[in-house]
Amino acid sequence: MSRFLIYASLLALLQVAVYPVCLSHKSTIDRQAKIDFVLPSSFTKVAALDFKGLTADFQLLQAIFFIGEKFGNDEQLSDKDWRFFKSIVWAVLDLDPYFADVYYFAPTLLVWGPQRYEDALKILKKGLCYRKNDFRIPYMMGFIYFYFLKDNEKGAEYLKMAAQRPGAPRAIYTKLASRLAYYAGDYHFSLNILDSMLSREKNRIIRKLYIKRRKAILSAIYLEKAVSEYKKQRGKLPPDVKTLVEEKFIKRIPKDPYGGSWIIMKNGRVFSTSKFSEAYAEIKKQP
Amino acid sequence: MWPLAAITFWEGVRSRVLYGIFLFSLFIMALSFIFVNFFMKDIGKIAVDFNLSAISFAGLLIAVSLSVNLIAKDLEKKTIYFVLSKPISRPCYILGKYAGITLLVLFAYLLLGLLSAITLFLLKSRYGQYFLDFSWMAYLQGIYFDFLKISLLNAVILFFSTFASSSFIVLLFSICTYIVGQSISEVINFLGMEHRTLIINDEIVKYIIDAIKYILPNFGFFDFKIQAAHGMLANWQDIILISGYGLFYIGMLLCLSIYLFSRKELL
Repeated sequence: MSRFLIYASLLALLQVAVYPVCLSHKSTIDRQAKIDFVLPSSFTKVAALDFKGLTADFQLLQAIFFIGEKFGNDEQLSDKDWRFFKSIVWAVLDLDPYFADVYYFAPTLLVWGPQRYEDALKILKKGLCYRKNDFRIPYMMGFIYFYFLKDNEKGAEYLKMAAQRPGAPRAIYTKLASRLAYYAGDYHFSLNILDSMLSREKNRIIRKLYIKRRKAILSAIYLEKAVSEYKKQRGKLPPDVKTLVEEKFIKRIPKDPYGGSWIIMKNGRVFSTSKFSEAYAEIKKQP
Repeated sequence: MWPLAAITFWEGVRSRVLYGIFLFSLFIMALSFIFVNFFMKDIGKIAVDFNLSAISFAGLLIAVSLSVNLIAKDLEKKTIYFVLSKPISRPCYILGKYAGITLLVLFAYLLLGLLSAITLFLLKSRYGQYFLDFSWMAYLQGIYFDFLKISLLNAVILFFSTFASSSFIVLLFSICTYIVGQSISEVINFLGMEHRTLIINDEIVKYIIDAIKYILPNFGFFDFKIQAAHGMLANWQDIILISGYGLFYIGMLLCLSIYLFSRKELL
């Protein structure tokens, strides 16, 4: 009987020897096969029975491995690959619309990879409805609008939303939102953001920060109105803000609470060298 | 009734199938330690998904392996004559069997619930920052509703056992009922959407779907795994309503089983 044990050992050695060859061949076959279809969620929802959460986990893993393998092999992802990826993502979200990982993973890849901003925003919009307490989702939307789509107004709108959600770094997001709105030229929206956050804020330190920002924006608005009036009367922009005082358009130059100096841009906008940043104020304080 | 329930329970505990099921569930729970590493933020959700699915799957395996044979085995081995020759009425026999299998499922769920709680506790202590949405109450709710689901499935199996001739037929009927019951809500939603456009214009088809909706048990009502995974608590009205639905259905099936079994001719 012991000879069967020897046979078994020999066969085990043979299978170990064959294993890596099989693996490499099968991987090649699989790559050639190009599985580029995703079962529709109307089917998986039924077929998953009461294991929808687990099915969603495995489908997301499929997406992660699919992208991971392509990146690992330094392969260029085609339009078809991204469409496939997107369809897996939507299938996962249909099974479990609360799945946080999908909302971080998919939009990040879609914007930094094929620059599919609309697709990313569509996914995040779903997250906005289902993950009502997650501040990162509106933050990501704000970031996409600001950084990629150069839409400061929308960026500010979503950052404001992010700032209002529980757990968000309120002060930072509010200031960021207000700054974006200001750069977008929407002073009233910028002030509105600050005022609405101020009315809700109880923390004295954060309130102080908001008040400082509000003061800076009000000063910039005041100066811009004067510049606009100057241009209307003189037909040209004033060379600097001092001219506004000298020619009695304003009584005195308002102080930038962040310590910067006012500059008049070619389009008539007034900005400060501090960019309303605390960091500038800190640098100025240093000897 | 209770001695019969105790016999059914101990028979189940002694069954080797149960140990296999336990080992399988533990294996799935252990897998969660590996799989959580593939994900980024929702580690708590993945851990709950794996553990609750392991418990739910164990419940299903108990139902299809042990419950299916509850009456069929007695009939095949002719032990039913011995039992019924004792001062045990047929209703008591059915109720005893059901109570026994329910106790067995309860025991299995308590044990698996404890083991999965240890798994979750270990994962939570390791990846605490990724368990933000996790709630023990939601997790317990998930297990409770799953227990109700398996209890209902057991009642369905017992009902089929009272008139089907072989355990295979019982198994087939029960699996079909489970699959249809589990997906009925999705199918209705899907057809409801299609209805607005093209498929169902026929009034009769609508009545048939409505009839199926009310006749078959809707197992989808008891699926609170996604909510448990995201730490979402069901409100008391939902808990009472769904528990009521489950208990009414179980009661109805037991009454029907008793009625059918009382009229069954045992040769």
